[in-house]
Amino acid sequence: MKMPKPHKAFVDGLKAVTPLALGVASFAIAYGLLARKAGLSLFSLTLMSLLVFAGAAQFLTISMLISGTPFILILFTTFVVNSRYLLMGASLGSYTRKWGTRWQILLSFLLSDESYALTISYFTKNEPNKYYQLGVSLGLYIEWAIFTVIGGFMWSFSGDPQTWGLDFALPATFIVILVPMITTWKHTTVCLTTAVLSIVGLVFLPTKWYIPFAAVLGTTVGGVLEFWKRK
Amino acid sequence: MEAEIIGLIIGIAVLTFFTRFGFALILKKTKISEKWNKWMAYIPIAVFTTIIVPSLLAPNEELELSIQNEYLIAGIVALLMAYKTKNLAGTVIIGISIIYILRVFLGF
Repeated sequence: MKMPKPHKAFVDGLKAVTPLALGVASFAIAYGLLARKAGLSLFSLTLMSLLVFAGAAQFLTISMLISGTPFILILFTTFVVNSRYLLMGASLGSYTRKWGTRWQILLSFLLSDESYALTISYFTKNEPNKYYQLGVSLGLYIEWAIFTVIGGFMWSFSGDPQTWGLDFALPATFIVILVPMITTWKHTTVCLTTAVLSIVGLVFLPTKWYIPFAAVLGTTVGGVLEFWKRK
Repeated sequence: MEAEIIGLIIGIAVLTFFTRFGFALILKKTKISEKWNKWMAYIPIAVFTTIIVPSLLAPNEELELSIQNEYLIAGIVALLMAYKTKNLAGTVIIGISIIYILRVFLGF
């Protein structure tokens, strides 16, 4: 396989983001609106997008601020929710380790669900390329920041984002990311088992613990199927 | 208030960075076997399923298995659309529209 030029790979990465752009923009606007509702200043909500850059965690933080949750519990819950990044980091780690610490820090900081989905599917089909991952990640980062600010500005005349259904942009995006990934019976088994595990976890475990619980066990089911079949 | 919020944001940012960077750091030192790679290939499916399913079945933290749950209705439509079309923009627009109609016109 021929390695594309850095510039070309970067642009390919940026282009790969376009199908996701609408979902990301809608969710970013919903976050901006909700953050204003919670009483955050335009500065704070933008700062959060620039420093944290994690849609689900940011959305959750704002909801918890609205319901008056203690800060320590907010920190803990965001950590649990973000625990999925540990898995994503592990799955990309075998590629990124070759690129040196600086690249790893940069690409880790910019890691998101969407960039992970695009990057991992590219890496499994093409020669892994750091410039591609950078293009994807940076494209999403900039879009997220811009539409967050737009959402913050829109607050003064649009009201509650919940009415507009914008909060559904995130699950809808994730659904379109997930469905094409499922191509074999093993994938289907993992998906269905994880679905059941996540609900069991939701019902029986405190707060967001179902996320690491179901994600780790679901992956393990896949591993067991793989190992068991290869014997 | 503002200073406290900024403190909280920085706290979340640091935690989030370390969850993203944690394994990159560990894996730098250790070799990964072929077997582990096979296992890790299931991470995306497991992770995305874990986020999606509870968000549809329990949008307010409690299980809501009823047709009064607008997320469940829109979610089923989105799943079918994603399967048939793989069209992201279309699925997002239809999903949001369903939620909007159910909430605004049908009082969900």
